[in-house]
Parts: sequence; structure tokens; C-alpha cells
Amino acid sequence: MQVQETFYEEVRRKGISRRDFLRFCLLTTAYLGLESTMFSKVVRALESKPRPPIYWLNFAACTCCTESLIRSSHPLISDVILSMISLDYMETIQVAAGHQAEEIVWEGMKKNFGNYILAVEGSVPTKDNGVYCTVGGMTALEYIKKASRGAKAIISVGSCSSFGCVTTAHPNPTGCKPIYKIITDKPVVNIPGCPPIAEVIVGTIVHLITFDTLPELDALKRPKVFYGQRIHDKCYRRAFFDAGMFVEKFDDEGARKGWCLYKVGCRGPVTYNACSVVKWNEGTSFPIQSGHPCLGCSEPDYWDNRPLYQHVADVPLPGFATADEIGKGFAIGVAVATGAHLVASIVKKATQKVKEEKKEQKEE
Amino acid sequence: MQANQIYRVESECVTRYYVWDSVVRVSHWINVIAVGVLIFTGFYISTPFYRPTADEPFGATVMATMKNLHFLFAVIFTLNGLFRAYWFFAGNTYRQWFRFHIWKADFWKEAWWKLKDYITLRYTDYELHTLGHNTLATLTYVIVFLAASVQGLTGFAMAGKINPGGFFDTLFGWVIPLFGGEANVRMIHKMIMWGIIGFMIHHISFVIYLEVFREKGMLSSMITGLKTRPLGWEPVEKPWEKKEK
Ligand code: HEM
Ligand code: SF4
Ligand code: SF4
Repeated sequence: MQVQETFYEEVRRKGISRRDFLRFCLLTTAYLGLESTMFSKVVRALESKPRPPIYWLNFAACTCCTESLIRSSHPLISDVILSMISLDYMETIQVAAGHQAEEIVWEGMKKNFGNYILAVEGSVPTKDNGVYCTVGGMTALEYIKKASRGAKAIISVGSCSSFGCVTTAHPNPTGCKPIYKIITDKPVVNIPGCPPIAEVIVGTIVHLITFDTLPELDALKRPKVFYGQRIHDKCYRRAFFDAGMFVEKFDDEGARKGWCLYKVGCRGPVTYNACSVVKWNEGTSFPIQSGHPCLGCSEPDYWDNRPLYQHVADVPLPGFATADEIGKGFAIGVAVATGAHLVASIVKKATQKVKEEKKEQKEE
Repeated sequence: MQANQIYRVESECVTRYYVWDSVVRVSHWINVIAVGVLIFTGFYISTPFYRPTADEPFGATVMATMKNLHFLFAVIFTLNGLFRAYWFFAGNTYRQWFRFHIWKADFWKEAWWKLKDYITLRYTDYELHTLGHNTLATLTYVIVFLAASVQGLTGFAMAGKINPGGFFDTLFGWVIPLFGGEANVRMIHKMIMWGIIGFMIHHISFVIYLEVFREKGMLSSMITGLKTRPLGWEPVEKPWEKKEK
């Protein structure tokens, strides 16, 4: 039986220097929020432990997660990621195709039963027996159920597979469901984002290799280190928020001066992600830094928290209205009903009085 | 039982009953102030309508102050509410919890009868306990109480997230996944605020009406504790069982 290469051997074979490898380990240790003393542990694990095979499955999604990953301009990260996953199976970039590709997957899964990791991009259509997404002649539903049997852990990459994104948006005609609702007997970690940040995906995988466990998860199965805080609480525009200085419309003076984007619909206050810390593209920038409000792309059902560009979502009743419109309608309704009732009461009492007085006069 | 004793003061033309003890009155006015501040600051947090004129955020803390005030009065409102919940059991007969018998047919019969009584503009006085609340009013207040509880839960859950894993987050963090994310938590927090505003509109106009036009001492009872009934008024038991003429 062929011995699994370690992660280190693999990156060296790809021509990455030891120095770069160590830099990668240090960066990842920092992203994972580990103490610096853990650095050597990460290095040792990646040097000595056999690299677990990772199969990247694509279901109902737009492939933006793959894009985020392979276009991550950080040379180190992207090389590392490619050496982590591409060899085994990733439809977008693998060399094999058709039957050959499918054979590789199932063979590999059989051989590594119980040891491999599934990275799943996309949600799974369940309506009409899941016919709306098929891979290699199987529905995605059958595919994920079969593939997950021997998996050590499942990483739901992106909002589609974590919570549901565009594919599960109302009215969800294909009955798409996120992975954790389908596979309940395996550890599932959610890495939401549309797309998620490459460093976050990699960090989670490294944690899995180093410690043989998933990182600590929150109630929505997200790694706490990356999703433990709101964008808002680490946002560099927060001083303007606290001061009460807001961009009123795009391109106004406040926008030029870099004020807070709350009033143009920033969802930073309700969104858990690492954008304002890890940032994107080698830590170059992130949406808010370039003057665009956060859309809350890593929150559950974020397409249904509509509309975008409004920091409180509409009330999901037929017709969708803002909470304020419904609230005002309700308050006005109550005011009118109460007013009418009271006026009627007053009038009734007054007329009664008049009647009684007339009666008294007659009796006299 | 001292607490259940009925104090009655007869003057020349009306009978006054001592209904609201001082605890109830004080806690009521604390509520008024707290809810007023919460609504004002909540509105600002939601739709900041005032902006400091500075060019730079140094020294200006309008939003931060509003949020701090909102939190401070939320704590006051919550503690007051918890105390009031205790007083449901410990207070005098008019406040007491044991009138809330939703599992009994009489409770619903009375509520239904009272609703018709209101809609037909009659405002009938009947049993003695209705000096406090009739069943319909009790039902309303319990709903308002529940709404305020959800408001507190959602509020403290949002507030807790400023320090994940901290005191408030540990106590209330579970609320956020329950509603499927913080965006929904905020939306619900806001809807309940409107619900409370709706209740207040009705509540305030009614007590003013009953004070001024019906002379029942509704509004002043929250200051003096005394409610008024006409001289010689006798309580009527279970009026909904009698055939209406
Ligand atoms: C009658 C009671 C209350 C009313 C009417 C009220 C109203 C509001 C409103 C309108 C908002 C703005 C929502 C938005 O559009 O973003 C808000 C936000 C908030 N409320 Fe309340 N609230 C009440 C009670 C509470 C309580 C008991 C707490 C507990 C601490 C609380 C904590 C908060 C927090 C933390 C926010 C979000 C602020 C932020 O993070 O930006 N509220 N409230
Ligand atoms: S821009 Fe968005 S995330 Fe940043 S402080 Fe303003 S509301 Fe918060
Ligand atoms: S800033 Fe918000 S919308 Fe943009 S990528 Fe990050 S979480 Fe998604």
C-alpha cells in the first residue's frame, strides 16, 4: 500500500522553500488565534502527519468559493491550498474527467475509508428526489450520502453549503438544503461567506491536520476564531459609527471622508465574519474599506434577509415591508380604532344624557 | 389576610377603593420613563437622525451615548420587570396572579363577554376584582409582559455579542441562533417595539378617557392608588351568565 505523503513533503515537491513553508505555518498559527508557542506544534504536525486526502465536491453553487480559493493572490496560500486539495479531486481544476475522474474519487474514498475529509461547495437539492443536481450520474443527494460514509469530517465551504445562499433563497424551487441538515451523523463545520476567505478555509484545514479535531465551533457550527465577532466590532470605521457620523448616500461628502456606512445599509453590526480582521487578497482591503457596506453574506439565509442595502431586513410576510412600515401601520391602526371607539363612547354618553334630561323635563 | 383586605373610602358622592399599592405605582412610573427612553434611543440607533457637525469623530459620541443609555435603561426596565413579576404573587388582591386561569372556561367566557361589552360601548363594572383588571385586560397585560420579555432576551443577546463569551453572551447568546441570525433578531426587536408603541397608544388614551369621561379614577389611581365607583355601587358576580336584555 502506498504511504501517504506528509503535507510538508508535498509542498517541497512542488518547489516551495522551507522558509516559505515556515512562513505559512506562522501565518496560519496567527490566524487561528493560537499562542505563538503552538507554532512549532503546527510545523511538526504538517511535517510528520500523513496528509489526509481532501475531496472537494461541487453541488448547487456558483463556484465562487473555488474562485476565492484558487485566486487567492497570496502566493503561499494558493500554492498550499492547491497542494492540499487538487491532487485528490476538485472538478474545476482536476486533470481527469468523466468516468476516469469518478473512478478516482470512489477508489480513493474506499482506500482511505474513515480518514478523508470532504470539502463541500454548494447546497443539495432535495425536491423531486434531488434531480436538479446530478454528478457522475448520481443525484447530489445520493452522492453526498455515499461520499460522507467514510469521511472523518465535512467542511461546508461557503454560504450555500453552510446555511443556504442563492440556491436556497425564497421560494427555493429545487428544495435546496445546506449540508448539515442532510448529514447529521458526521462532524460538520460551516465556513460561510459568499465566498469565504481563503485564509479561513485553510486555517480550518490546518487545525484539523494539526490537532486531529475541528476548531472550537459556535452554535451555528462555525469556527469561533473566525466567526466569533461581528464585522462591526472590529471595523476601522467604528469611530464614525460611535460618533454618529454616517454616509447618507453613496458619493456624498461623508462617503469621500470614509464615514460609517450604517445608513447605506451596512450589515456589519449583524454579521459574523473575519473580513475586518483577516481582510481579502493578501490583507489588502475588504468591502467596507473600499466604501461599500457589508451585505452580510456569511449570515444564515442572507438572500432572504432582503433587501440588501438596508441594515434591518424586511419582515418576511407576503409582500415584504420594512419593520417600520408595518410598525407604523399597526400603530396608526390602533390609534384610529381607539380614537373611533372613544369618540363613539363620548357621543353615546352625551346623547344618553340629553335623552335623560328630556325625560326628566317631560316628567316634570 | 392583610394583603387581600379591601380598603374603601366613602365620601359624599363616590366610593373610593385603594387598589394600587405604592410598589405598583412606583414601578409603573419607572416603566414609563424607561420605555420612553428605550423607544427614543432605540429609534436613534435604528435611524440616526442627528449628526454632530464635526469633521472628525474626535470627542463626538452621539451614537455611543445613545447605545449606552439604551443599555442602561434596558437594565432598569428589566430589573423593574422582574420585580413586578414577583409582585404578581406577593402584591395585593388586585395585582394577583391567581386571576389568570386560562385553563378555565370562565376565564374565556368573561374575556369574550368583556370584549363585547367594550365594543358595544358599555363599560360595565361588575366583580370586585375588576377594580384591578378585568380578564381581558389581564390577558393584554400578560401578552405585553411576554413581549417585553422577548424584547429583553433579544436586546441582551445583541448587547452580549460585543463581548463574545462574556456574561451577557453566556446568558443570552442562545437567542441568536434560535431566530436564525442576528439580522432576524434585530427585526424582531424592532417589530416588538412597534407592538409596544401600539399598546401605549391604546393604553394612554383609554385611561385618560376613563378618568375624564367616566370618572373611574383610572389615571389618578396610578398616583393616589384610589379608584372611584358611584356611591352605592354593588359588585355583580358573573354577569356573563345572565341573559342580556
Ligand atoms: C421596550 C423596550 C425596548 C425598545 C422599545 C427597544 C427598541 C430598540 C430599537 C428600535 C432598536 C434599534 C433596532 C435597529 O433598527 O437596529 C434597538 C436596538 C437595540 N436594543 Fe432595544 N429596545 C428595548 C429593550 C431593550 C432591552 C431590554 C435591551 C437589553 C439590553 C435592548 C438592547 C438593545 C440593543 C443592544 C440594540 C442594538 C444596538 C446595536 O447593537 O446597534 N433593548 N432597541
Ligand atoms: S461601516 Fe458597517 S461595520 Fe463599519 S462601523 Fe459602520 S456599520 Fe459598523
Ligand atoms: S464584508 Fe460582509 S458581505 Fe462583504 S464579504 Fe465580508 S461578510 Fe461578506
